[in-house]
Amino acid sequence: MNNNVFFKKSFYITYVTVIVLIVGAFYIFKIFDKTSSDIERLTLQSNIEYINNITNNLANLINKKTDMQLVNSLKISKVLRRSLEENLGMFRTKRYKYIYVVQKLPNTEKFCFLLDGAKKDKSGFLEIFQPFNIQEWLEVYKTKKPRYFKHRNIKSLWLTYLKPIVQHNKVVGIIAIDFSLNEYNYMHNTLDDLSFSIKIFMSLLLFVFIVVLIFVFIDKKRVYLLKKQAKEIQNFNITLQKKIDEEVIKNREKDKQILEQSRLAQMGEMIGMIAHQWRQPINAISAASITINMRAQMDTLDPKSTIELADKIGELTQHLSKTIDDFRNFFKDTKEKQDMTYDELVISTLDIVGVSVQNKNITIITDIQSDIVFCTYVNELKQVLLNLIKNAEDVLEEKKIKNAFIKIEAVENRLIVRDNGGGIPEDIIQKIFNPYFSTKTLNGTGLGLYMSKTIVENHCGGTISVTNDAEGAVFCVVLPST
Amino acid sequence: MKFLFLLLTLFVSLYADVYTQKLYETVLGSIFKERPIVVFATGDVKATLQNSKMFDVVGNCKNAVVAVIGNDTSLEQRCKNIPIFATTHRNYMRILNAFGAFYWRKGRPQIHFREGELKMFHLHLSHDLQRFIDE
Ligand SMILES: Nc1ncnc2c1ncn2[C@@H]1O[C@H](COP(=O)(O)OP(=O)(O)OP(=O)(O)O)[C@@H](O)[C@H]1O
Ligand SMILES: [Mg+2]
Repeated sequence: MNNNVFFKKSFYITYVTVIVLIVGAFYIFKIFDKTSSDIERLTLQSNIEYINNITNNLANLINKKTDMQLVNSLKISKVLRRSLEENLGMFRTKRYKYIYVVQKLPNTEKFCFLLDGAKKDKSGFLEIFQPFNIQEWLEVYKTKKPRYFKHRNIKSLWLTYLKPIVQHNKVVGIIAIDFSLNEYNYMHNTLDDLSFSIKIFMSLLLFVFIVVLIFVFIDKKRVYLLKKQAKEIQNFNITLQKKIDEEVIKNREKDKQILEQSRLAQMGEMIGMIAHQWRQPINAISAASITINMRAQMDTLDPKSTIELADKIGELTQHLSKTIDDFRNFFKDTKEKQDMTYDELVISTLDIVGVSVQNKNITIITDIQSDIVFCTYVNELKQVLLNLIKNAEDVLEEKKIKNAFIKIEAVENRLIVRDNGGGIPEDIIQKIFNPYFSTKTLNGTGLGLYMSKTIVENHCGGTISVTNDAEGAVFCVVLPST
Repeated sequence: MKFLFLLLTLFVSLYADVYTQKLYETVLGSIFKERPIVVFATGDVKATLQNSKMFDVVGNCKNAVVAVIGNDTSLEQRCKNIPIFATTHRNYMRILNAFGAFYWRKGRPQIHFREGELKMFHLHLSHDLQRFIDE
């Protein structure tokens, strides 16, 4: 916006400047034109005045010195001729190149020289002379008035001034001065060049003006387009933000759903585990009840053994109730962080899952070398460990590995779960943490590892990673040690 | 600017030469009908005539139909039998068998013909040139 104001300002300044320049240039040109023509006129005028004076004096001199008719006086006296020619020669300069006196030959339109002020290339007395513009010369004879005219001989521009010598009211000769207009010409050319330059300058200005106008026009269009685009982008951004927000909310809900799903799935498995845990004590209770029943029928039920059996049944039922408590605890949603060591985590998880794993002929090896106390979401981490153990159990069972084992190690803040199930194929190892990724066709939801990753990384601020070693997969959970 | 002026001068001086050459071509070309006109020339005129294709400039008067005599005065004796065209007023006056002349006077080209000599050599002037015959 600021930029725009600046731009507008500068645009108007340029605009006004150029207009002022153009008007100024036109004005200067007009003045210049007038001045140059004035200069030309005045220079010419002053020169003519000067020549006029000279020729007046010369005519007077000639009239004074020749008492008879001019030609006759000159014919008679060579001395007179020479002295008059000297007088003429006095006015000869570079500019007034030729000064001479001619006479018209009677009955023809030809002239002949009477006097010549030149030293070199001198014309002879009475030598025939053919001038240019002969009409002008004849006119002087008619009007008895001085005249001048410009003419261009092949070399340069000349002005010829003709002054009649009048005796007894008759023109007896003409004093002619050829006046070089070269300087004048030079000036004229210079002025012409100058006016030409001004014209060029003016057209240049006009050109600049037009270019500026075009530029401004284009730029305005560009700015307009830019603004439009910016607006569109802004609108787009707003809708995009809305969409993103919506998507985020959706995603969160989805995540919640996924976690819920996964938990439900785990619960299903739990029931299986509970069944495992309970089978042995229930068998024992049943055995005890049968023993009591038999002894009662055979009448061998002595108080001592009855008490023993009843105690055993009590113990067993307590065991059952403890198991139930354990499962309940497992699924309790504790929203607060609790203190925990890896040792406690592993023991409480194995309490639940241990029996069912061992029933499948899988050895569980634990090696806990860590006594760091973490303050974290214990129940959720139990679910993570449970997932890892269950996955190992699944692969070991599926591949019917002999001497199958699951090894749980803890070193400092690392918890490592490894098995000898042969590992994860390299082409899927990148995807196993994705939701719904599963190779298990029957009972796999593909949520176990996704949920584990969510818990470890998003809730507990740790990391979970997987590699393969020589025997099988190695999962490594790292929790931040506070 | 100076350069322009120089160029103008150069052009004009070139033009002056061309003018002179053209003039010789029209004047002599209208009087003498053969082509090329075998001409004996001396002085600066020689170069001017040599530039023109109309003339065949030779070294002596024997084979020439016309002699164009420049500033030189000693040669006219050998060329008594052919018409002579002078290029200065002085020579025009001095050389008796000169039938005509061309020279510059006060920056103006001057052309002259003498009736007697023209007749003597049986030369005919075109109508345009007749006004240059001296009385
Ligand atoms: N220890 C392991 N050894 C070999 N492959 C494994 C191991 N752990 C996981 N996988 C592979 O990773 C995939 C994803 O595991 P995840 O726990 O996310 O889902 P799932 O076990 O298939 O399904 P669910 O956990 O719901 O039963 C498994 O299908 C399996 O192919
Ligand atoms: Mg799993």
